[in-house]
Amino acid sequence: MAPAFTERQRSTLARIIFGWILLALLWRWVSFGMLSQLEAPVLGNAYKDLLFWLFQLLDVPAFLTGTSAIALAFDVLLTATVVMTIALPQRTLFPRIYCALILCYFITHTFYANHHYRPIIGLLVVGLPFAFRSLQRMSWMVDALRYYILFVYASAGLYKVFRGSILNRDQMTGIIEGTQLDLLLFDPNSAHAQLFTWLLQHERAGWALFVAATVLELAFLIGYVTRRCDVWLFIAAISLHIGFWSTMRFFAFELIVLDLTLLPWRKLLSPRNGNEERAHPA
Amino acid sequence: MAFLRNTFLGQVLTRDRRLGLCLVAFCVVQSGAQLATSEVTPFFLYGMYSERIHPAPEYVRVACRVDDAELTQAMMPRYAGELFFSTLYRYETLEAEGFHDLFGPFLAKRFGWLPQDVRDVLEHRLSFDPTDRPAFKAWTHRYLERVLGRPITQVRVEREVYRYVDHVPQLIRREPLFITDGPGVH
Repeated sequence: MAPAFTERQRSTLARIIFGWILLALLWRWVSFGMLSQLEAPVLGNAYKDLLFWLFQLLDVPAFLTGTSAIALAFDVLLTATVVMTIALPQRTLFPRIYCALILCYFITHTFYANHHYRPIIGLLVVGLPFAFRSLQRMSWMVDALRYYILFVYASAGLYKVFRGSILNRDQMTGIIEGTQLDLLLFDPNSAHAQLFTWLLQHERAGWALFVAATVLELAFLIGYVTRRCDVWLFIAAISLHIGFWSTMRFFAFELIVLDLTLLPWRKLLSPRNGNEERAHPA
Repeated sequence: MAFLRNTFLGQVLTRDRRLGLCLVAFCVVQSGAQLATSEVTPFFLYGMYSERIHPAPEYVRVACRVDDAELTQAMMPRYAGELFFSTLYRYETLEAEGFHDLFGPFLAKRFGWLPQDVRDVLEHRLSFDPTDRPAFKAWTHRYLERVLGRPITQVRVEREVYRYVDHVPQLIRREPLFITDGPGVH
């Protein structure tokens, strides 16, 4: 089992993780994705998710978006907890408030986005380790998140095998035709549209890409038996994200923050690199 | 047993029972969600296009014209575009289903054991209320004015149906969904 992080390692890691979260939130601010920018939406979707049902039955989404002042206060508070964690990474109060607020944000935004966007789970769970005061617990939570991201990718690969889509030769054709209609209609001469047209014309090439992605996802099972391949798995995760963007124009920025747990932080932030403290007991 | 004790979960359980039990509980519920193929935040199923998908004979597209100019998702900032067009697609689906939301059949299938009046209340509270259509149209206008940063005279939303012919999408038919003529539309 890996040793616990030191106080200084914890602070550095908190700044890196919450720096990423801040970027994700700033992107949402500039692209009108915060609750105060939704203009009191009317049509939502509670999906088949019981937690969403609970929020809707308690009128939480309407409460958080219906009044501009409340929505703005919520957004500012959410962003402020992230900034405060970066400024004071040793405090656990701000990550705790952040975790509660980001859950409310996730459910309310996803409710009105009418699209169950799962990658945002990255922003939801990645703050959890820093809500623990004990360095040992924080370290275990970082390790638990590492196993979780392995599960995310590996289960995607296993689903493709067990549902048989890996053998479905027109899988990519169906995906491209269904998701890239706008691009093919309005920007047919762009490089991206040309690639999609080529993949539609060469079904086997599209299928090969799908099989390659599945194999790459299944490779994450290795992470359950050894940490030695973690850097390669990190590269595989980033390759998958590049592949998703290239072949589906889908970029899950919020999920990449969990990929960071595959990096050897204990080594990268070791005393040799300027960290001179020793781990505290749990 | 020794093997289990050496696993990550086993070690956490041995050294910090409370945290270990929380992690085990998470794994158990997550596994249950996988088996039952049902999602409750934060226990998601990560299929990532793992359903068998075949090319469809026809594809529905929701077209939005703002003051007679085509507006596509790519023309909007990322999260605004996703939210706005996903909402239009949901409205299109509701319209196609005669504004019968998905919750009735789902409640009957998975929650048939609940008393009928409880299911009725749940369905009513969760479903889109068709009398909110004017408010929804006013919201599309309001939201677009905010995102595009300029006053808008008219928003026209239509359902378009396409078919791929030699890998090129061809328009089959177009039907109006709704038009807004000002932010105070009702």
